[in-house]
Amino acid sequence: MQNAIKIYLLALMLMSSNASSAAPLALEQYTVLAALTLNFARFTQWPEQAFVNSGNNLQVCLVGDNVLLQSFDSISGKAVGDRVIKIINSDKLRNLNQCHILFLSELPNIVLSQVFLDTRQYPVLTIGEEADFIGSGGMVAMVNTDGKIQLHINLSLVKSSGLTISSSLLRLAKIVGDN
Amino acid sequence: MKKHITGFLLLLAQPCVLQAAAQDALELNVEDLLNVEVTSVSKKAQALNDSAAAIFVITHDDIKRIGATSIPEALRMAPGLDVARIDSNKWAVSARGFNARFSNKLLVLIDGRNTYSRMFSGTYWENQDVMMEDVERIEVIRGPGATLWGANAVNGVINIITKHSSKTQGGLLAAGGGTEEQGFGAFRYGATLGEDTTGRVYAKGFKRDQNTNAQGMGAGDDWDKVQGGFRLDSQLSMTDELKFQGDLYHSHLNQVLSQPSVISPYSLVARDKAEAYGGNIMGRWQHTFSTQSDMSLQLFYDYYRRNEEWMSEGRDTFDLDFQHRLGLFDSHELIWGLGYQLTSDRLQGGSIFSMSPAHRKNQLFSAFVQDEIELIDQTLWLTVGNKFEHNDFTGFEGQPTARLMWAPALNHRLWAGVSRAVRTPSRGEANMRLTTAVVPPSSPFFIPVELALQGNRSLRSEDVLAYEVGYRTTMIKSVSLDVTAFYNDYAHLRDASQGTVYFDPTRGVLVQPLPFGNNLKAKTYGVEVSTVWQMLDWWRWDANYSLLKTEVPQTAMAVVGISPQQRMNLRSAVNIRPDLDFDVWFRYVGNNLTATASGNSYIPDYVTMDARLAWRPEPDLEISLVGQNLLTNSHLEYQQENLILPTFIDRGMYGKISWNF
Repeated sequence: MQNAIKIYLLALMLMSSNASSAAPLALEQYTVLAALTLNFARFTQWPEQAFVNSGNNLQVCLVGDNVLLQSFDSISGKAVGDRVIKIINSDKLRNLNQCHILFLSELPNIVLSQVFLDTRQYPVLTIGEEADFIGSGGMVAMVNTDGKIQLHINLSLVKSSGLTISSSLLRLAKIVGDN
Repeated sequence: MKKHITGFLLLLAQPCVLQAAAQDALELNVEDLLNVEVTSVSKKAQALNDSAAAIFVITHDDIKRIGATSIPEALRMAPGLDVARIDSNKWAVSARGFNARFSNKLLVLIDGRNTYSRMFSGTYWENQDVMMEDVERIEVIRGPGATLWGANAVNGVINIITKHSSKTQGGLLAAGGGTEEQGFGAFRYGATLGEDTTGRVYAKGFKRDQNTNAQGMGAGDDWDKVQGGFRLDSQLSMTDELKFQGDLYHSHLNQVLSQPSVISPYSLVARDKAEAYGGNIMGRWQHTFSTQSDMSLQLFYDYYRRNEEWMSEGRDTFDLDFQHRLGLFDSHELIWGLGYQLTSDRLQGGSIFSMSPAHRKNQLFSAFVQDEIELIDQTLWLTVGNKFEHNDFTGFEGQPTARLMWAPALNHRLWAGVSRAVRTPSRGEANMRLTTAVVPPSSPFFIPVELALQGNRSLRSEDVLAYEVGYRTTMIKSVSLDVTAFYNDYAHLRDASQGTVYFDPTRGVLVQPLPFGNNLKAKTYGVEVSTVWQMLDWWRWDANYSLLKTEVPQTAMAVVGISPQQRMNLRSAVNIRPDLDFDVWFRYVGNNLTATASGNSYIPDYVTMDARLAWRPEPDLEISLVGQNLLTNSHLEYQQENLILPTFIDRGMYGKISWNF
């Protein structure tokens, strides 16, 4: 009993000391990535014909594990202008041209290039998690750099797909690309 | 007690705070989101595997944080695996029972290279090593994996995967030493070679101390090893990737052999300086046709040589594998493949062991097909498959499986499977003659009696029908739970019968032949539970429990060993500060019975503990102190079936410095 209290006190102590030493706000990575993706949905403009088959939905396709899917559940149904976000699990990489946003987590390079071949002709905003995602042909990378997320955007690729990202978002990102 | 509970609840409440935070995050603007501190530590406690099989993943981080210096030591973390150290340089590793030094129902792959030796249908663990720092993960699959992997994956598959060379750029230097791990060093350097090619080379070596024998003296089982290797990954085009890798090693495996003899005193105990060396080279080409379709072609060559006092063996293995995956009609994913293996050996025996013929080439042809059908969108999947193979020992074999996976919600997975798998006879079981014991002269004949195990060329495959069910969940965000239950029904297991006694006039002994047969039936069943709890951002618990019941006929007790009925693992991983790790690992292993030449040997249960403290004064420099088997001076984990005397595994401590540059 004595020991139990001691352990509990120790835990409490360690916990509070840990909390005070850390930054005022710490969030789980995928929670932040989901929130950032919502912002991309809001600050990106798709050509009108991109919504011909999706009705009222802005379709966010996800390729990743249950952790990613569960985290992105928080943005499902959120309003973006007069549309709402619909989450689609695309782990089989089928029908990717239906996506407005395609979030790809941990795919080998050789598969990524096939994905980009499939989506290149369509206004699909591709988002990944690693800096070399852009080098492989992706549009937006949300990179964890020393515990904070940095945005890398290949602007020329975004533009050539017929997408427009608002300057208020662009100014917070590092613009990388071919030219 | 009340306070204790409050504390517990408080800790549990932590994830709810995070849950609320998810909603808060949506309120933040982009600028704030980019300034938020992000954590990803609890990923391990949340990720659920999507395969309809009992799978456990040992990560790079797990290996590092327990300070494992070899693959079998890392495998102790997995549920359902029975890992027992026989002596310093020998292990017995099996999944779901039937453990033995020459256990034969487990398939082990290193980067896709089959480490299996046709000699005994198993793995020489002392030959298989990798640069532990470059391991990405080890997947441990319990239960039959025969459809995809092939024969001998009867009770499980272990898949050791090293990092892509693009992830091991730069240098790594690690060195250390201590009481059991007397000295070790490892060096790796990775570089970019041209625009699309990355590579690495490594070299490592170690010297491990001897353990303790039953008299409390040195057991003479010290060993040393040097190994080096490389890996090259090249992206040839948008759609093609090429990989080359290879290893070379040489080791001295010291041991004390207790060999039966037909002359007085009928048993000789002597030191043996055994050695083993070998190498392998592998190439793999992967081509992607589309997101729905890809293929790979893999080729490897492996050579090893083993010189012991009582036998020596040289073996070449050449292996070719082709695989093609394609999506069909929106709801099917088809994988099919072809395989060919050629193995050629040269064996030399001595007074207790012989092989006839001494040289043999064996071929293996295989083909498999598997279809994963999505019955209900994102919810229900059915996988059916079959593997056919033809081998030189038993001809054609078929190994079908059917598996169902149901995901009623994102954080729940239920699965069930029925499979048949076979274990084909080994070269030894077909062609060997081994003296296992000599009974000293006694009445009525007053001449020694030699017990000789004899290979059987018409031996058939052992087979199993396996039934499994499993459930995985992340009930709350910081806890994951994985439960599996299985029932295995074995038939035609190998046993030995008593042949007709005859008199050998040249040696003046009566010979009792013990020819191998397939007359044993057995059943095993059990439950495996594993859980991960991210109690706090900086404190994680990993625990698992395995229950295994083995039912074999009483008469068979001296033929097969009975693996521990219960095993327990409890690990705590604490990050005291970002630069300070503290890890504690408790293990309980129930008693087991090994079938030795002189009858059953009872191995008592044991509890032991490992601990590790690591400090990183600089991000690229780590100093660590590791204690292994801390609770006793030495303990017995297993006794080899013959030749090796019981060896008690000693407590060990070592320090290590590792530097990334």
